Amino acid sequence: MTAWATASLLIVVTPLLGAASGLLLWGHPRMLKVWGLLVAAASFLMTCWSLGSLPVAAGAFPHLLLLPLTAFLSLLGQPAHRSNQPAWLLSLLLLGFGLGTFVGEGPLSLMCLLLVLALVGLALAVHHVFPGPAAWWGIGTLGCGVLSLALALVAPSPVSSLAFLVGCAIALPLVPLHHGYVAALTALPGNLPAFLALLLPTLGFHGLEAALPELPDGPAQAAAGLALAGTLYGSLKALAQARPAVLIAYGNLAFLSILWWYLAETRTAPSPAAVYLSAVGLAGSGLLLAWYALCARYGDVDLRALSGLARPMPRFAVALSLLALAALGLPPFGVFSGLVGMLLAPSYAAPGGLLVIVIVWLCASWYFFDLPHRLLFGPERATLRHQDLRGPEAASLALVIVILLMLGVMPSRPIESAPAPLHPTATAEFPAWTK
Amino acid sequence: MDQIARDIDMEARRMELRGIVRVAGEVIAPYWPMRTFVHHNPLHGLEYLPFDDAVERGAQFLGGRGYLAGDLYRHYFRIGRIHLPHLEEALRPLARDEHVIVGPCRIAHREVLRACLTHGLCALPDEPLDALVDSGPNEDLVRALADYLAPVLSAPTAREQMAAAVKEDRSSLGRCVTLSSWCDRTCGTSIVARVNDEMVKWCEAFLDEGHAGWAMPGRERGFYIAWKSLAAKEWSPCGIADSRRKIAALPERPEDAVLESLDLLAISHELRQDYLSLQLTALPGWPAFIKWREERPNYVWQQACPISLVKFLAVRLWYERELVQQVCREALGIAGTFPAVMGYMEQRSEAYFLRKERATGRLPVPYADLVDRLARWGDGWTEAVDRLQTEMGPRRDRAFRLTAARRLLALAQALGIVPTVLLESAPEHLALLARWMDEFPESAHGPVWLKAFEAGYHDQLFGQLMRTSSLSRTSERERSVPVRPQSQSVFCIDVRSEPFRRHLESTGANETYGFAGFFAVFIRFRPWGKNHETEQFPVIMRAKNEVREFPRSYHDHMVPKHESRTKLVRAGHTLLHDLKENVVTPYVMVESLGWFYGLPLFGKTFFSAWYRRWTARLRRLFVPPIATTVTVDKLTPADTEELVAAEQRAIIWKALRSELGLHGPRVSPELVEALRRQALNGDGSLTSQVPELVQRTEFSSEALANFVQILRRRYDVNPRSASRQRERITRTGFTLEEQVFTVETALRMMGLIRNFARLVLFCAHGSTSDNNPFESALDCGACGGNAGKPNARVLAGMANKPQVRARLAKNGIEIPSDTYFLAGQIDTTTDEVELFDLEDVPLTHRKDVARLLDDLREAARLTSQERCARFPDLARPLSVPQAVAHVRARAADWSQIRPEWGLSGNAAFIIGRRELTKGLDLAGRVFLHSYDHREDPTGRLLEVLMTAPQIVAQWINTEHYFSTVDNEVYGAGSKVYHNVVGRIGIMSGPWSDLRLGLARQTVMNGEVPFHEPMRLLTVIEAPRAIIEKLITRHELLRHFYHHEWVHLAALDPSDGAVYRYRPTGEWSRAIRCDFLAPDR
Repeated sequence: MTAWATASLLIVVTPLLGAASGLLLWGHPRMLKVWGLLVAAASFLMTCWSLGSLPVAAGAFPHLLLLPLTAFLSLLGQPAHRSNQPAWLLSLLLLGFGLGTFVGEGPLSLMCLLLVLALVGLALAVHHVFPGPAAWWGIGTLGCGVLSLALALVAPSPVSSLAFLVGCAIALPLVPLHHGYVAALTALPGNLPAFLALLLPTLGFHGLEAALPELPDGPAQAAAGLALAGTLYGSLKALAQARPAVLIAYGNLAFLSILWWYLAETRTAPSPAAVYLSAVGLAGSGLLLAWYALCARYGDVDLRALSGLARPMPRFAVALSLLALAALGLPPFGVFSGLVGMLLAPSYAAPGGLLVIVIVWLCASWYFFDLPHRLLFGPERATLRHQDLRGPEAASLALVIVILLMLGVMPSRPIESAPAPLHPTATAEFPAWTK
Repeated sequence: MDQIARDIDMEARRMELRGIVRVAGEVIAPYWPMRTFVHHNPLHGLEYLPFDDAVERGAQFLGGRGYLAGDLYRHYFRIGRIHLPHLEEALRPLARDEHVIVGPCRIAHREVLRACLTHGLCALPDEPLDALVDSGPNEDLVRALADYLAPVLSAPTAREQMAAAVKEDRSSLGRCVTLSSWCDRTCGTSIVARVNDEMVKWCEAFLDEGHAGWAMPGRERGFYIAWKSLAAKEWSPCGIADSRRKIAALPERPEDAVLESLDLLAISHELRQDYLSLQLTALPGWPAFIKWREERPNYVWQQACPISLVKFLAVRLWYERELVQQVCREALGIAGTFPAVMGYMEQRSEAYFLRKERATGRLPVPYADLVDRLARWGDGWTEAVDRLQTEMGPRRDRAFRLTAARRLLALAQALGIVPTVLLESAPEHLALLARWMDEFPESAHGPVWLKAFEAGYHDQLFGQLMRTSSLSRTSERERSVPVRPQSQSVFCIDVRSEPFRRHLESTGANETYGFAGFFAVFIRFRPWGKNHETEQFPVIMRAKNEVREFPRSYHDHMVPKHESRTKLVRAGHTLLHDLKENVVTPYVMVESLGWFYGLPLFGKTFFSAWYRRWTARLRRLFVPPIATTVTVDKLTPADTEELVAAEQRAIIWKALRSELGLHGPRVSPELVEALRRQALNGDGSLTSQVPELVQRTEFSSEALANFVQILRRRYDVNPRSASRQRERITRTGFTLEEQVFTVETALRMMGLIRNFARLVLFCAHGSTSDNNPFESALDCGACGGNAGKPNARVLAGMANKPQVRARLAKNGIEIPSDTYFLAGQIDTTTDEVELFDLEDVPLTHRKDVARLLDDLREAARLTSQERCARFPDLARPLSVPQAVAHVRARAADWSQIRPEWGLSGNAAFIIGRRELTKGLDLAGRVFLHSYDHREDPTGRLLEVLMTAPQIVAQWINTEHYFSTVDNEVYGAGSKVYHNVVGRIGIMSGPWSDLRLGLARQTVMNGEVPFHEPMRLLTVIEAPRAIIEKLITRHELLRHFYHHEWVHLAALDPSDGAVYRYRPTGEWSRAIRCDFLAPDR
């Protein structure tokens, strides 16, 4: 077995084995959480160690590193409660399959992506007490994704290519295939929404990156049109939300649609696009973690039931405010630098969409500011028992902010796509439009 | 005939409505415009109710809290401001003679109540349903206790909650909740906020008093008509469809519009008063100012732009009815009327309950989604409630028991019981303990805490007073021949005078007196060079005399120069203002003149005191100050005629020069007089005498006739104007009788009727601050929010008149011939005292004045030092020179949010001789009014004191009280967000209600009150029988004392003991608690 194959195998197997062995600790939430953290850390270290020998382009490095890191951070702030145990183990499984999508070869990679979507859909179906239309739509969309990817595995081109594109559009949400992403971020328990906020788009982007050069004009233009519609749709939906998780999900949808539009328009994925994607996903993760910290204290309450948290929860207030600034795309965080980098890239020559981007930005500056505004200010609720962020919660949010800051200020050269690798990469063997 | 009957009926309905609105408006107190800020009780209209009931009404209508938060009282308890014996005493009426056995311990009901107060057991929050985070170290014990309580404690079921909610809401609809609030609570809409926004917009524009660059058109037609004409031009305000047609179809009269809206909403007659109160209190600030305007029909802006509460309600109710109908129709499928809403609550209770739970955010997310679906698509509300109970019931039970367990655990800790003992007692006993705690919620603690808090201060003050009262009686007996003091100074009763008086007395043989700062001089005052008058008397009084300020004759030659320079300065200010406010010019102005603003910016920011000194010096250099005098005497009719004629002659002289170019020897006095008479008496044509006089001029008769017309029209030299002038002059000044009466009243009331010093100073007070909209709040409340300088000058002027003294002597007040009355004013921000009219001081008294000035300066320095010790931003005590410099810098600092901070802290009002309080450090918390009961055997003077200065003190006290206990509702909020609006008040941010009350920074020091909120304690040194007689005579006093708005105590001269006046009308002797030492 070659070095890259061994490294790939280790990276994928570590979290999967970790998840399996975690079952032994079932019933001991504190120990299970520590175990999950250890596995995620080990996965991160292993990825770092084998980064040079992996069969992936340099542009994918940030994602490879961010996936275990995000899994770690999302687990770190979790309260040791029995109800969270399934989510933790599922996170490790998803991490394994997610990394497998990156490092696996052609069908294996597709299979991993398929499993990720299937697991998320399954979790949605199992978790929801009485699924509403949103959850049903989500389960349906994810099921559609699973079928598409299965079709991509077996069907000939161009059906397989189209099916693969649909699978990618479900992971990296593109209207009208966004329901799976929205449901995953809003209806799943524990740390899963925060982790999936980064994992799903990253996987979709990775698949799309490979498919872009061969994407015919028709589907590309259609995708660009849908993406532009998605930006507006996501923004409007986010504006109308009273529930933070849904607001964050639709806000992310709007920002990720910008990425879709950019990719479809330019047919390239420059390094700032990867930065942008990572930052949008991570900012969403951070916001979901912050919201989860509240849910852990007050239950899954309505935004209307909370206000005036700035005084009793100062650490939370600072973290939430910074995350909101990062999520809406203000400097010096990654979303801003990623977007500006994309727009300044030589491949970009379509200023037509700028107006839409400005609208998205304006809308985001309303709803992402409104969220901390409503939570932190206003009358303090005396009937609630306030407790500021505990150490691990504060640490996880602080680290998310630091990473967002690093994404915003770090030079892009190290993650510029290198010349074609010597090894046959996974991306090179994705289904083609013409065979 | 039918038409006539209908008209009569309609008019009767209008009258009835106006009456209802007047009563409905009682819940809001009038708001005085900012420039004459008057402290007042925000619940003034409810003083006919007991204090606690009024507080409840305030909560019902305004949503305001009437007591401090429990945590703050607990803070006071911890630091020793509230004492346990007082708390026990206050708890006694609530405690029952019951107990519970818990393990080996016996817990009395009283102990549980006390623990609830001191440990905040009832403030413990409810347990969230799905919390994942552990909240404390005793979590296992809490869970065990919760399980232990399972057989005896369970949460109310969803249906029980629903029935309770429906019952409560049905009874409160119309009384505590408007239909718009009901819609907001049920459907999650924001009708109230939208209507408020609209009302802020219209009120702000309509009530503007010259602040806006572009005034609202049509204001002269009144608020309702102006709104009607403008709102009809708006496109769908608040999303109201077909608004133009609807507004156009509204009745012409506001009363009819209100009645129409009430009829459309189907508000029954018995509910209308409360309903309208709720409408007014939904946005209490603007209606409070409208109420003030309505009560002053002669107010110039009210005459120009009439507005009333009825007009306000006519507009507000239109928005409400339209939006309520829209929401009820679209969201609930019912009519937007009171009966329909009541019916909905009763017949569709499940839907109502779930919608309401959803709107208030109390439903877990999956159920919230379910409610949303049901609201959109159909029925199934009953099943949803059942499902909620089935699925959430056990979790609610668990949370309920966990909450009870936490409280019981906290109770055990508070009582010093080992927590595990709880598990050894019967669950029923624990449930009883939990019920006792539930029966005494945090919201019921306020009255108990307040009583205990007040009792502590009362004991402290009584202790101090009893210490001196016996001494003063002893010294009185010993001192048969009174010693003549070096000076006597009369200060305002204001609490800020107390430290100054104390220090002035300590500097030498200076006696001080306290008297309401208007010194019994009811005047409207017009300063020289100003076109408006200030009302220099308490707002509850009226004045008939006017006083004007004139330059002294020896400065007459400087008057033209002064006037022209003043005009120049004003023109400059106006120009700059116009340039700044214009639509276009600011763009150019910022570039061209913006730099010049740098100097004031840096000066005011970094060198505030220095900057102020130098700008004042420059101003004096450019516009030299002129010595003035005030018109004390009323002119005789002949003098009045002469004065009017002299003024007219001066005008004609000027007019001849400017209109005809005639001046010098060509203008003879005869000519001027002839023209004057012509203008006053003639019809415009020249009499035969005039042409003869003008033969020496080159003007034709026609030209002169024309000139006479110009005099009449342009220069106001006409009979009507002359009559007006005469009338104004007859109001100016006082007759000799009035002067004698004023001086005698003042001297008798303050007890200064013998042993006069060589110098008697009437010291008014004012203040200096920069960038402070609340500036007038620092001035004299007894002078209507103005500085009291004119009053002091007028009284001193009267008292120095030999004729007045002669008449006073006949009335028994012998003022020695060597006694001289001075007028002065203390600046309460810098503590500097300025004396006026020193030109008139006889030579024989110059040295006395110099010595007094030295003492005043020393007292000012010591007062500044004492005041600086109270500023929390000063970490260390300042030396005297440092303190003096600091208070001056503070007064000039435009970023200073507390330029003075002297009035906060007020707590008591003492009416009595100075001997009672002399030598006591009352910490600037006490209003001191001098009064000698021996000179008032009938209680006539005391009656005035109890019904006038006491009211002012009570207003100041309650304003501070309510602004402290709930600054957001009764106060003005943080100064940080204040913006001046319409030159009448302030708003928070760019768009809000008119903010009433005091700013947060005035009453709070960070999170802790700087002003300790307690009701006024009045201590009167007088026989109890006289006080009782006065209370019986005045309903207002009965309201004060029987309803506990003010506490009363008497220092009975017969035995020197302090007696408390109980709300029941009985006296009880106050017993001094020796364990309490003054600690502030």
